[in-house]
Amino acid sequence: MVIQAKQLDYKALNEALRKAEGPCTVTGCCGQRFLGAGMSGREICVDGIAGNALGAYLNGAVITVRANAQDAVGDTMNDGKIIVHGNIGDAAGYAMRGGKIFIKGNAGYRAGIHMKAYQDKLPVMVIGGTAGSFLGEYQAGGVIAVLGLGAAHKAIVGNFPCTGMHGGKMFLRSDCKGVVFPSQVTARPAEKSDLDELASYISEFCALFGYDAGEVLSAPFTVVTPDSKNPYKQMYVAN
Amino acid sequence: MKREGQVRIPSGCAIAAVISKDGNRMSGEIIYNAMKPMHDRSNGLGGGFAGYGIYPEHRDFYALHLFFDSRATRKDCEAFLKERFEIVKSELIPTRTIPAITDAPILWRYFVDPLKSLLASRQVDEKEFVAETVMKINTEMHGAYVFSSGKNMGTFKAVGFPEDVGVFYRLEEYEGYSWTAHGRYPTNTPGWWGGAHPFSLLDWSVVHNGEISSYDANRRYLEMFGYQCNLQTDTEVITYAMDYLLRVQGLTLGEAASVIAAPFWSTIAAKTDAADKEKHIFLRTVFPSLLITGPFSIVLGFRGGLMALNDRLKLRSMVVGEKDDKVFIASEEAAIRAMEPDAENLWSPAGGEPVIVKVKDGALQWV
Repeated sequence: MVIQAKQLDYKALNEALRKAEGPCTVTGCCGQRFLGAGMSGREICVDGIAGNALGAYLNGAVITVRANAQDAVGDTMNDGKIIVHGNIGDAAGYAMRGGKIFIKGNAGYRAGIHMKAYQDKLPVMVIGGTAGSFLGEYQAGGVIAVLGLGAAHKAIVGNFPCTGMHGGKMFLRSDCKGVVFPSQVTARPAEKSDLDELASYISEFCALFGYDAGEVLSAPFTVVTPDSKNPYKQMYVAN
Repeated sequence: MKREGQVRIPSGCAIAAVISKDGNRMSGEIIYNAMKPMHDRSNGLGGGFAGYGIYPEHRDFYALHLFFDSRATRKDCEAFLKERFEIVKSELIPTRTIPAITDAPILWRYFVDPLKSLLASRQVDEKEFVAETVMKINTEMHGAYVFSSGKNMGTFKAVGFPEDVGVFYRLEEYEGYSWTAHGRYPTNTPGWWGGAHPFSLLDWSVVHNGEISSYDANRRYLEMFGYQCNLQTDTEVITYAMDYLLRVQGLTLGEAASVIAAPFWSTIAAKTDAADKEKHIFLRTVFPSLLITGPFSIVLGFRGGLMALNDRLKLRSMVVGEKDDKVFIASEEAAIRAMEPDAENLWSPAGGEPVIVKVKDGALQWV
């Protein structure tokens, strides 16, 4: 089913999405917020600019955006998949605890801020291009991978990555020379076991956007993890 | 009703701007249409616009836009203005009566020329004289408020959603080579016409999305130089900070950006370019009280250009795009697409990285 978004505000557009059955394509989207919020078991395709909080609280639906998306993609997402063929704004995957976000292009500031994991849930975010500053800020769980594809001379990540990170794992497709990490994390070259863990996510990313997984994985990766399970121990009082 | 300055309510906001580098003039319709996709960033308590190049027939005169609460206040204020300026033209600002905009104050504009004899006897330059006059009216004359005081530019603002404010002020009847816009979601003040953005002084205008935490530190510093912040509104203090740094201190736009969105000391320490490092140390040392902390994304309008800037932590969104001679800036890409569906080279400037766009030399003489 095709929904023409042009004359609809975000409420009317989401209402139309909820009423529709089966796969939906939204055309002429121009900044409407909360697309697909909380939805499960659906396939949604968006033509045009998806507004802020795309797929917020997503609960199993699959959303594909053929252009750029704005801020807070997958805010507090629980399950499902968000695929963006362009770039995204700031604070993607804010506090997500499950599901996957695949971005072909670049992410703004604070991608993966407060990402976490929950029981058997493990959120994954793969950014094909570069990420802005404060990547993985306060990351508490899950996997963030940044590939720097087509970035040429641009730094793979901005300033202050992993600030406050205390859980989860980050993969950066770079030797990360010149990237300054905070003292509570360890950044080291990826080993085979790390790459094995990453391989399925990279394969899925490459299948979506037409890259060769073997080639993508052949470059050096840096793995970043927090130093301990309780990095804030004795930050204020002994606990 | 309590007004700005009497109560503090602890903003989301929307900003947008467009400029033609060739100095081509665009109808104001483009800018209020840009605000439509960002409707939900505002709450109807303020919208406004600044247009540059809109008064070519009076380009040599300061265009003062005022709010008056009564006819009597207007008469008093006019008498005061006549002591200081030659009033070349005095008229109501044309508006359209629409249900979305109500409780309008009296909206008046004057095209004025400062009295040369006064400038000579006071030994101040024209701009300083106009700025002092604006401060005097806004601080001392109850019921009168100057909300625009530049040459060949004008600010238009009201309580309402920005797209309605644009229709109210008939902006489609003006043509400017650059426009800025703001949709307000006031968080600290109740939302009076004077508190809407842009805030402007002389040719400077500022639209701002954010919530700065350095307001009082900045305000106290600026008061030493005669700036009176009357409205407890963040944007007012940013406007005066820019006037002080750019006009009074003569800094470049880039230097002013490095003052208000100074990099962290650790970032400065890591700089490899010695001259750049020294410059940043100098600016942070000389103007520590004008560092603006807390989230902000602003567009500064000035004669012949625009400057967009995010706070150094980039706690607010901002997107820039281009098409032909035009450059677009907005809180959301959707607003840029509303102005130009085929905009190219979209990018998000980093925190503290100013984007400065100027009308080409040569084109400026016409604007």
